[in-house]
Amino acid sequence: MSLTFINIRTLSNATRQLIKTSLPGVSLHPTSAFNVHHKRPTICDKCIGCSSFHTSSKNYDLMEFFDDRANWKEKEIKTGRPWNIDELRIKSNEDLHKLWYVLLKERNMLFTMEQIYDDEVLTVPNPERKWKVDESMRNIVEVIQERERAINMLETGETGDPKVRKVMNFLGMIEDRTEKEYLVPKSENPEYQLLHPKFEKWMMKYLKLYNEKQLGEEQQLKKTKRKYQERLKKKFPHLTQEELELGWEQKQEEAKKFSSYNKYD
Amino acid sequence: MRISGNSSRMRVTRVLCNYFKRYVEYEMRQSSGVDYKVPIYGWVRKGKRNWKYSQFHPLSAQGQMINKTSKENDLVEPIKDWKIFRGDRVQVLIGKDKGRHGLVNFIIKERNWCYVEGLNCEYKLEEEFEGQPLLKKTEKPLLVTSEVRLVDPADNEPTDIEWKYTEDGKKVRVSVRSGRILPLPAAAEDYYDDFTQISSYKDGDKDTNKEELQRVTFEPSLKSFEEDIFNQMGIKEDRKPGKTYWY
Repeated sequence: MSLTFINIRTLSNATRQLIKTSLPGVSLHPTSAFNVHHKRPTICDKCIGCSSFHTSSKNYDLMEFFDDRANWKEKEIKTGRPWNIDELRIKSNEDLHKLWYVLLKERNMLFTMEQIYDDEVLTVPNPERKWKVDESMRNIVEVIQERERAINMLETGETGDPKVRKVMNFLGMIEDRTEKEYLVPKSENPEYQLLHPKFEKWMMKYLKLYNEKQLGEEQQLKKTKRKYQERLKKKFPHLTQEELELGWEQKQEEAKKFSSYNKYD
Repeated sequence: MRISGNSSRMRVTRVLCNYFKRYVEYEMRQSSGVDYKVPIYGWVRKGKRNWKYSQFHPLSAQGQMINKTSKENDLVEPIKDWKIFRGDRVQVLIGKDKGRHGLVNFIIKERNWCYVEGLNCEYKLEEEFEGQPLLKKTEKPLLVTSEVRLVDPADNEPTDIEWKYTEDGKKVRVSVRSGRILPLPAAAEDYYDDFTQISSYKDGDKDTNKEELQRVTFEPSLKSFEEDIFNQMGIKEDRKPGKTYWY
């Protein structure tokens, strides 16, 4: 059986299962990492001095990039929940530093395993593990930022975060811009000066058109809100004004789910 | 004649923990919608605008197949304070089982649905299995707002409830008629936000102990994070950073 080329990365987990059930005989790459039974030659077999390089108690060498051999080709791998932010707040800086590298190694392992499963057209067991690790890493960063902010507030009276300022665009539009670090001052940076020039007269024509478009969009949004609330009121006449507002908020949250650009968010 | 219960259960709620929400939404975006190009960012996948929540989970193949054919969503009544939870005793107000009591099995907050154990069922005759006719029994969903009501433990009659605070500052449910407190059932708190059952879960190799988890190691000091790590690892930094500009 010959299979046409499919980009497996774009398929969801459920559709992968559908493909597997409908085409049971598919095996594109017979020589994959799963089929290797002999022990791989590693660096530490040859030289003795290398063993001091490892800081962990067990030396798996390059096999640390892979999952446990018992978990290979298993359908379900049970894991716990990610670290809460409240649990991380009681830990010292040293513990957070260590935990970060434990999570980083785990994430690397998950990425390599995902690659292998993709090559062999298998479904990845419990793909939410990647999100679990990501969540606890985000929480660690947040806790460290909190502590840095507190020390900065004590010493200088300001949080150390980069400031947000209103800056004019190269099209004349005014927008928020978070400050960045540069090696040269503003006057000597030609790239910055190109993107943020002074106001000129020709900008006014396009600014007016842009403003008009924005007002139109605002009105359109108001119209859709009014019509949706009327529909709600017709079906459930006992609703109060607060609950109608809540219904509109919930509808907007639903739409937000599908409009984000980030792959992981 | 044999009776078989419905095996596949739906598990969706609007209250999801952060990572699980991100994961489910990613899968929903992947299964529906189109790819398109954003000028500077690159290729992006945009999902279907209105996802139709059904009795099947959006991660399952059935839940994703429904969304390829369906067009419009039903209007759902917005509820400010949720009142009915998994494990509650309720009375059915509608249909064949009108007036009967039962325990709540599952809840779908997206549609205001709840399933009551063994009530409001639909029976269906299927093909013969091992020489016997097979009867399939499936529970049908009930609306939380109008088709089901909580039972007061004082006199076993249906009541409305209110959320109130006790003197200790705890939020409790109080029945309007008798003024008695209705505590949350144990089944409601037995699940994490990502639907893993707490009581049945056993710790694996990668999970931390409870003692290790609750140990307090943080000591407040006037060092920043970097200085603290430098001190512990014995790193001395004498170099001074050059001047930089923020704008």
